[in-house]
Amino acid sequence: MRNTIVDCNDLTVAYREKPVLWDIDLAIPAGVMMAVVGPNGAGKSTLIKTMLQLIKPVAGEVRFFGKPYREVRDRIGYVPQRESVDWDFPTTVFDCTLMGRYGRIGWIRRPSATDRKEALEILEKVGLYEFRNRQISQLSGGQQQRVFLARALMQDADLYFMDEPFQGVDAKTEKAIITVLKDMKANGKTLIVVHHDLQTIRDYFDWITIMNVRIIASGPVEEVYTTENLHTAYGSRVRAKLEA
Amino acid sequence: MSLMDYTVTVISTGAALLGLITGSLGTLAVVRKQSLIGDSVSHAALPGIVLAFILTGSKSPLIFTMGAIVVGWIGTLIVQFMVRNSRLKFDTALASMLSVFFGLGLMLISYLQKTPDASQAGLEKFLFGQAATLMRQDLFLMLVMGIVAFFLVILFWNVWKVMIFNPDYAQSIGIPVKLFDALLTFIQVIAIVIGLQIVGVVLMSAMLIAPAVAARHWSDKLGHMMIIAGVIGAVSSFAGATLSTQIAGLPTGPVITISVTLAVVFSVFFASGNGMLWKYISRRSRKRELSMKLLIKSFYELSLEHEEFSHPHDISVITLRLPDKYNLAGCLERGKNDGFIGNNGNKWFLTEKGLEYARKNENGGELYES
Repeated sequence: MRNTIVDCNDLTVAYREKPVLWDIDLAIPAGVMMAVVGPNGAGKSTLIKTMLQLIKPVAGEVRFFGKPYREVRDRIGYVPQRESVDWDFPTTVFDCTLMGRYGRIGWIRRPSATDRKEALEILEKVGLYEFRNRQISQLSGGQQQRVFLARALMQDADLYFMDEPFQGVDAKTEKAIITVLKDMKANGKTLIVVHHDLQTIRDYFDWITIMNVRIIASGPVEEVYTTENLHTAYGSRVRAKLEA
Repeated sequence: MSLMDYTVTVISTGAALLGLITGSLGTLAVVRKQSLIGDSVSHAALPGIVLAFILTGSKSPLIFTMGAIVVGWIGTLIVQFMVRNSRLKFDTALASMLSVFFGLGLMLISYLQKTPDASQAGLEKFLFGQAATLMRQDLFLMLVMGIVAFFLVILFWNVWKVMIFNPDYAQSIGIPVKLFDALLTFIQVIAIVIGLQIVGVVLMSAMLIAPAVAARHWSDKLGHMMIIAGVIGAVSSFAGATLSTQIAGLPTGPVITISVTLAVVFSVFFASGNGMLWKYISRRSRKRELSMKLLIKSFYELSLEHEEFSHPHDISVITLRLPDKYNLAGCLERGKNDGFIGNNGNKWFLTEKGLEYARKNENGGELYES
């Protein structure tokens, strides 16, 4: 069995009385590319945010590499939902990518020449080099998503959490993003991705967590990704979803 | 008063300093979408000033400033608390806090005016500002507070940028967002409070917002925006203050505010990049280019039906291939000037150069990018 690098125990989150996550136990092995799926309101984003300590759980704890979050922060990267920020913020693609280094260089130091060089290389890799000096609002949805990806790559972490990185991108961009993600996985990174499109699960992922407030199933795609499990999570809507 | 007069120098220097500090620090408030923070803090500061006087009996600017900072900050924290813990939206919470604190300040001032003690005289100057009472030690105080604020802004530059843009992400990389949020608010409170004596409680928020709004039209980068806003604030405040000292009866605070606002109006229309004029021109030239491509494309498609690409066509045939609101006459004229097409009276034809242009743009040219 592979090493477990993310370990959730009894994680429970509630917004006013109503549970959003209930008694989540989850063990994620190193080196997988895992999809987190479930219907709207299943708590997928909440799960990620709680793991990253952005939301305080009512009960339970999460450990990464056997340690609490704050001790291993530098090894963990985060790609938030694209809609969660205001893209009118006065900054450029290049600047935004450099933000990926802020966690490592600390609050006061400025990015070094090496950091800048690496940022340019990463922008080349995600296909944004020619847009490096653009203000971030002057980008398409797919390009904005790739800016977030570039920033995450800049973090050079071992474990990544990504909240719907394919949201609102065209087919071509989706292909470009998945190529980068598969490349990351090939380099030994672990990726945890909130995903909506059930059609592409088998092509993109080797591990999956199906959830709806509770964990319904978690494991290798070939074992866990069954109609029965999806039915439990989505109810009768799953057929429509799969055929869509 | 002459331009070299001591009072005039102090007033103009003070105004320039004020514009520099509030202009650049206000940029952070504007990009944080907290433009109204200036209004809330300055109104909340009024009872702080009066209370400071009641408690100490002193009219030293340092004491006033302390009172203004403490109560102004408390007011802002109350607003943030209300937004976090109730269903009130930011603007509602702000409006209620602002009126309550301002009312309290006015009430305290009226009450003091009725008391026989004459030492309270002059507190009402904070309402609309009274630059004439500015003294050299006030400038010194402004300078010191400005330096402290700038020092903090520059020191934690990375933090501000990532925190304002994407707070969740900032938290995930280990920045204690709540703490820095409070610190940033404190820095802005300093910027606001130092302007109260010159501009007054009522007009202070314009000093904070206007230069940043103007600067946004000149730059797309936060750092540049702050510098530009500082310069706009300093220059326009200096000009406004100097003007008000030269013409009897012109009040300094309002003149400064108008002067800063003029900078905004100018920028909105004429700034390169994001100004309206600039956008209009670039939109127009893009539109013209597109209509030219359409026109030449029509000619090209027509020419494919004939042996000679330069076969002449009647205008009516061309019109059929173009959208309804197409400005044909203007485009034909420009096409002719560019050498893409030529005519014999009402018969128009494609030239060699036009053919080349059409072929180059055959697949939509550079209209799209992924």
